[in-house]
Amino acid sequence: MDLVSFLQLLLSGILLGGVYALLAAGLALCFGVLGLLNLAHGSFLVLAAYAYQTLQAAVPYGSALGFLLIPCLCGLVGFVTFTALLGGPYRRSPEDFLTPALLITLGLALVLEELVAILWGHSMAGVEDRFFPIQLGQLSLSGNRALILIMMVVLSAALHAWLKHTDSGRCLRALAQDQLAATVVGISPVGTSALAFTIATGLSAMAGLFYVTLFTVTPHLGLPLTLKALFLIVVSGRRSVVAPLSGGLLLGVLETLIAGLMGASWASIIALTTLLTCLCYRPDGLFTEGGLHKAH
Amino acid sequence: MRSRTCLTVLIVLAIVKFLLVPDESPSAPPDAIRVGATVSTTGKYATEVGPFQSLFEAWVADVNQRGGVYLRHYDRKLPLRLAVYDDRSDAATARRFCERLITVDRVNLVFGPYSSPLTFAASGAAEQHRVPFIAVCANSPKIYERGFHWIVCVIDAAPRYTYRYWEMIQAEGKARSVAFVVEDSLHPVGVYEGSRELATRAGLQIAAAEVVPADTADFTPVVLKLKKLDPDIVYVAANIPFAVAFMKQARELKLSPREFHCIHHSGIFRQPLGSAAEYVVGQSYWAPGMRYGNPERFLSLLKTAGINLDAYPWSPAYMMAFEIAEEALSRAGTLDPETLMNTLRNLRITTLGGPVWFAANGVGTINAYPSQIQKGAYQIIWPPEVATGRHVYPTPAWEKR
Amino acid sequence: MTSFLSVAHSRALRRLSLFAVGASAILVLSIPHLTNGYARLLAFTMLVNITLALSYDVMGGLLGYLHLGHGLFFGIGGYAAALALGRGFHISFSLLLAAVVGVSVAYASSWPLFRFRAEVFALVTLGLLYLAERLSTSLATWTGGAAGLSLPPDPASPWTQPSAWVLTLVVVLGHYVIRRSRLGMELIMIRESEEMAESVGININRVKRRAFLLSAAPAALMGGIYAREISFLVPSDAFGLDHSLGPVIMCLLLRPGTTWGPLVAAVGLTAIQDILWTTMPRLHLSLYGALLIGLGMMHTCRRSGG
Repeated sequence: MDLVSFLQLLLSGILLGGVYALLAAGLALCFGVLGLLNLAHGSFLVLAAYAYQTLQAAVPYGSALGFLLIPCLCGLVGFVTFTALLGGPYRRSPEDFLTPALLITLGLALVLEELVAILWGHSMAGVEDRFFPIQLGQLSLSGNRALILIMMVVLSAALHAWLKHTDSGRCLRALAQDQLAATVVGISPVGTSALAFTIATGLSAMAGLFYVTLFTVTPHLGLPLTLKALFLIVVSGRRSVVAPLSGGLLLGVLETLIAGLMGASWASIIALTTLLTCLCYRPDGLFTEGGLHKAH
Repeated sequence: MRSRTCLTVLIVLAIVKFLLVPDESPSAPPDAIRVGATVSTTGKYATEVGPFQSLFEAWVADVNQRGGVYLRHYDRKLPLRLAVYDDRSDAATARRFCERLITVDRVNLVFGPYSSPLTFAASGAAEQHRVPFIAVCANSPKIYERGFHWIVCVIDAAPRYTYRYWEMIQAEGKARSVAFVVEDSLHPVGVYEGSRELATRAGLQIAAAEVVPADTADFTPVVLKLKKLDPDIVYVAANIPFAVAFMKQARELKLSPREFHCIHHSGIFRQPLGSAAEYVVGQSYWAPGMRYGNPERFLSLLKTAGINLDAYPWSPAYMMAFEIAEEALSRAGTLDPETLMNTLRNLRITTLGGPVWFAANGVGTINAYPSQIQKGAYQIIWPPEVATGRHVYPTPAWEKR
Repeated sequence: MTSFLSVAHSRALRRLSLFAVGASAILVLSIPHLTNGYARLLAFTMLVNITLALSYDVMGGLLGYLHLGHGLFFGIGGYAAALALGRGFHISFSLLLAAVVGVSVAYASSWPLFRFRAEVFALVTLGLLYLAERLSTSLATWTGGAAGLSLPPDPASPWTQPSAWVLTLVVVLGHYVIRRSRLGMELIMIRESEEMAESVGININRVKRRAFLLSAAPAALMGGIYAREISFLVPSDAFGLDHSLGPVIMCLLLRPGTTWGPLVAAVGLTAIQDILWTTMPRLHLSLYGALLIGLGMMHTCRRSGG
């Protein structure tokens, strides 16, 4: 392989990492930090993707409007979802929240799947990309993917800063570490979780907007995407909003380079096996910050 | 509390209904022709055939409006009665509901589900109960290798899916080499395996064949390899999501063969690709302008059902299945399964998509026509007697599309 | 208030399970009335779900490990049996092979898997499921790859229904016995507190591994029976999410760690799903989703022996 191809592959792999991190955005906060297993994560992504497709086709400056509006609206939907559906069971038994959360979010995923299918007549969603590739000598840099990567870096940094340096962020971390102690010092578990869920839903919506410019979205895609994202989070390390980005980058670069060297059909098998093997030696995730959060 | 009571009542009623299935004695003359189908209203195939229950309903309404189908044996017109279930795009469910159609709804004729795995599972029920089964979009040869008597399929086998395209390439004699990009899932792999042979026979050199996982998110490795080999044709054997993602990256990385062939280039294909979809060649079962059968009736059924032809390119195949069923029923003149099946197997009619007859194993003759996207519309480009437009080859440079 | 609520909830839950029992009883009783293939196949779907839910319960209920990759063993068993059947072996040998392969895979993967904490375990098994789907696609010379593995039309089909019944019966009884056995007690103890279990001298890893193998074997066997019944396997179906998420829901719904909980949930949910699917041409999926949401909101966690 010549140098240009190698660099091109490396570049594409890095950008692919951004795409993987994109999938995990939101879930990293909701499941990774808070421990709330939200099976409807991908369904919100799908919903946002469809809304974006409609908006950008119907209204002038629809895409800009979509980027401002849809994440906020979806965040609102997330807030309503949490207060109306999840809040009750969470208040009742915060320590045994897993089962109701699984049932409710799975139910929600099914409802959203059919809702989207009916509203948009079962068709797929896809949006034309707006950004042209950037030519760097002989290398070509996908405009969309570069934007996604930048976006993910900024978002991860912002989330990280929020968790570290603001009161609400600290509340969230405290809650994730020790629920009882957090409640004792006056943190409202339901309020804090609702906030995290709202932000997480907004982030999934944001992911949907980008995702639909690269790929196509179907109503049925929600659950498979959620599970893929969950896996990514576990491999890279829970309890951190930055880890999915590093994990995504590693997976992306590995996959692309292996595909370039040995052909595409075995690339993801080898990459996955490698990651799983590495995970055996770092059971808490490859990029977990050691000692920052104590084991749950 | 009340909602739960309602639910309970509802479910009890449902169970009662479930139990009170009328047990008809077979000797009584039938009051209707019962037809049944399973449709993937939910699940992974819903984007392909989700709203097709409406298409079935529109067809049945259309036939019944004319009084039904005349059956000689009973000397009167019998209306159609339809039973449809959602198979969740799942093989076990499709089989179960096919069994239900036959044993509970007692249908005289079953239309197969979408896709080969579902049809493989469901057709077993029809064979066992000896009920005629018309497969629609299920072209894996494995289904028809089992020696089943009670199955016919509208469309041709997967390996021959693009044979007309290779005929055209050979006749034109311009292209020299082809590279395959194959999505590693059932239908694309089947089409690729057949096409590889057909391409060799058409005198093309196979530059590369890349089989890529279906959910690949980055095609750079494949595109780089193809750029180096520079084949005349890049043949993308893939479903629409894969094809869209590939074409987007092919444009970004400036892969410019003389022609892109995406076996499925309808549905949502054009919308996310915009100008990148121009001049892509693919397959259409039918395009406006073709003169077989009764296109007006087809278009009016689509309109009644609220289905857009471009978004659901399989809808013509369903129309052909309807035409075949109607013709077979009226020629058999009876609902006796054996007579009906033999009529079906020996049927020879011209449908919307061209002439149909069935091989000994049940496989039909309907095959898609190569079509090219020109100025946002699909033009059939081969064979000349069907063509609605001319093949543009080579494809202009990216900037000129 | 809380206690009142929980009483109300447990009452609701009891009523619901009563209803599920009723619904399932009607369905089961209706089988002789409807001596048709449909009732047989509906029963078969129920048997598959019961077996998956109860075998999952050994891990998910008794041991309390969330495990999102249970369908892995179902798929592996399916492929193992299908490969044997395709080479002309008798169904009994094929099913035996399915169980052996399923258990071997469980044994081999248990070594790295139990290094993980419970919540990571769930998702690593999910990764294994994904990996298995990929492998079965890429090993096309063996498995037929994406083009699928088809079985010859079945001379063995009279065997599939009885073997499904027998397997389910064995699984139900087996679960009942395990729960009351020393192993069951040890599992429950580990679930409640690993430290405590360790301090009374339980070899935690060995017990967990046993549970894992016991949970994998029936799933693999049922996968084999399912493969024979459907007679066409493609990776995306064999390793699909249905057979992994379904058992989790059915196990957790009523009372994980008991025999009747997953059993009733499996029968009830299958019956409800079937009724919705056959009576509502549209909105059935949403209704089913709404039902899950409602059940989740009413849910109070009660495990056996906790």
